[in-house]
Amino acid sequence: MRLAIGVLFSLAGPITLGWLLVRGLWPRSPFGLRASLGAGLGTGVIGAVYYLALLITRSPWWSLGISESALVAGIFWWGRRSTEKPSQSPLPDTAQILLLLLLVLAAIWTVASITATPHGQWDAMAVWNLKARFIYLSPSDPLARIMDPALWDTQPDYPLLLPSLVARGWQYAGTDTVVIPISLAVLFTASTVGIVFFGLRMLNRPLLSQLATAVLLGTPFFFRQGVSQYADVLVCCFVTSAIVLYCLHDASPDNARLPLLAGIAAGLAACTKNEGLLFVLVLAAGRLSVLAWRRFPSGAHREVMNLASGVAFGLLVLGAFKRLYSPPNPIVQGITGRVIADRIVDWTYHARILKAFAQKSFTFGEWWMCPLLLLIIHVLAVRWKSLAAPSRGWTTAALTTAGMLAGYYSVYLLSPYDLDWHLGTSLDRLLFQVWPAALVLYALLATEG
Amino acid sequence: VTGLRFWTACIFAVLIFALSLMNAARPIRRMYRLHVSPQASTLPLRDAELVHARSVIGGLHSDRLAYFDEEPGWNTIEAVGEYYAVQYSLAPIVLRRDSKADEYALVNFRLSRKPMPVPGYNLVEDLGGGLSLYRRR
Repeated sequence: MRLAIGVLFSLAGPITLGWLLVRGLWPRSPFGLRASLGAGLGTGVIGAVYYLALLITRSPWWSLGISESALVAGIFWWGRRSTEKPSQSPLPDTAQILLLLLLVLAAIWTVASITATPHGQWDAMAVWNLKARFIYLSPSDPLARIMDPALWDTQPDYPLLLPSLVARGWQYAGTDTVVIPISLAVLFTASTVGIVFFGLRMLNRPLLSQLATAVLLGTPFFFRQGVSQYADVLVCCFVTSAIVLYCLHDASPDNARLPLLAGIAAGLAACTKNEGLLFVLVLAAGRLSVLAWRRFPSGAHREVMNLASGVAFGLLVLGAFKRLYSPPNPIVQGITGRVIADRIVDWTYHARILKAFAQKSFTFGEWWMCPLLLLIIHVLAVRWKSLAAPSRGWTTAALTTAGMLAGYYSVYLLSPYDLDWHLGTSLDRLLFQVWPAALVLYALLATEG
Repeated sequence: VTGLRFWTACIFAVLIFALSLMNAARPIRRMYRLHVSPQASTLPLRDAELVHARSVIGGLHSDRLAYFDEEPGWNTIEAVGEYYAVQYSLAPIVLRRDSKADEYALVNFRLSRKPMPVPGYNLVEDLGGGLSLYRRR
């Protein structure tokens, strides 16, 4: 009984906070999008508060006290704000039954994956949940144990947002049950699907929101990886949130607070995995490029300030971790002028990476048949006349998705590890992180006008 | 032109939905018709097996223990995987591979399943599941 109540309370509070936060910053947000964004952002924010408190106090119980105080204060503060009813965009009238059927199939596959691997995949045990156990079970200073040199190959430089969330859930449940990491995985997976669907609907693309969501629901790997209890699903959710929020901002620039929410999502991605920091850099560079292309329209300064304010909290937590605890990242440490000079002109290296990217792009989803080609043909069929004059909505999605892929490519190019091993153990998860964002881009590109 | 656009949209919608349904149904069809389960867990989880070991090691009041595998060198995926499984089960104790600095040592006889003499150490207890606890002489 305590387990069920603990799981419920550990999730309900942050979801409520997220709902209120989105409502406060964006009073006219539609119900479905508010719920999807709120679930991911609220859980992430409380996890980041817990994580920061853990870095300062080194005590899981102090961290729980501080995070829950922040939760109560946040709910009280944002609960007093605007009470405007969420807007309801009309339900699209086509293909709803098919989408529902896809949802049922995806849910069956998700349950089957959880049943087959209740403890997640390898890194869940060796990295993420192991660190959560150190936080939850250590009688004193869990960080000293996590950073022990004996555990050098458990990625000690990786941020601790997910282990913090899992440990917090275990504190509520009173035991280190697998139900907590599974619940978090399902929450972030479902939240990502909701953000794609409701975000595109909000952009007045009802049919394309259904098509993009259908392709996502028809990606078995998305759900198997989503419930593997890795941190990649959190990064995926935060990346998708930030990109969708910016697309919405581009569609209606009058709401200046959407970049703030996007910044919060990007900051949380940075607190989750090192790829999240890459996303912050890519998003910032992408937005600055878009603003420069538009010759810094009025409101550009405010947008940049809002984005920076949103990202600031996540970067503060990450900065505290990197400065006070984290050992240097082995990939970054291995990058020297010599390595750069050698690898940039090593064409066989480039060819191997490009080949792996090309092959994985068509197979990572564990599809019966890869939908990528069909989506590209659809975009070309719709836009063949107007490709040179793109509408403004898709630029951020395109720049950030392309920027992330370029960043991954550069990491592989400069990696000190055996290339085949590095590609084989990580590329599918990296493509998973940007797959929903790529589908958002597809839906925006396949729209005329 | 509007008619052409409409039919283009319809054709792509049908194709994308059909392909998505085939993709989503494939693993379920494999599961129920061909009895191919989702990639089953290969994690060598030891939580249930190591309950006694957890209580004995918890009573040592030591944060860190040396850890040795029966097969020295850490050259096999089985040895490394087993280390993580035991480390996960015994957290928050930190297991230090091949450490000479700790008073107590845990030796994993995962192949022979029975404790052997370890030079420089006295056997304290066979903890079961192939694990034995030793104390430095």
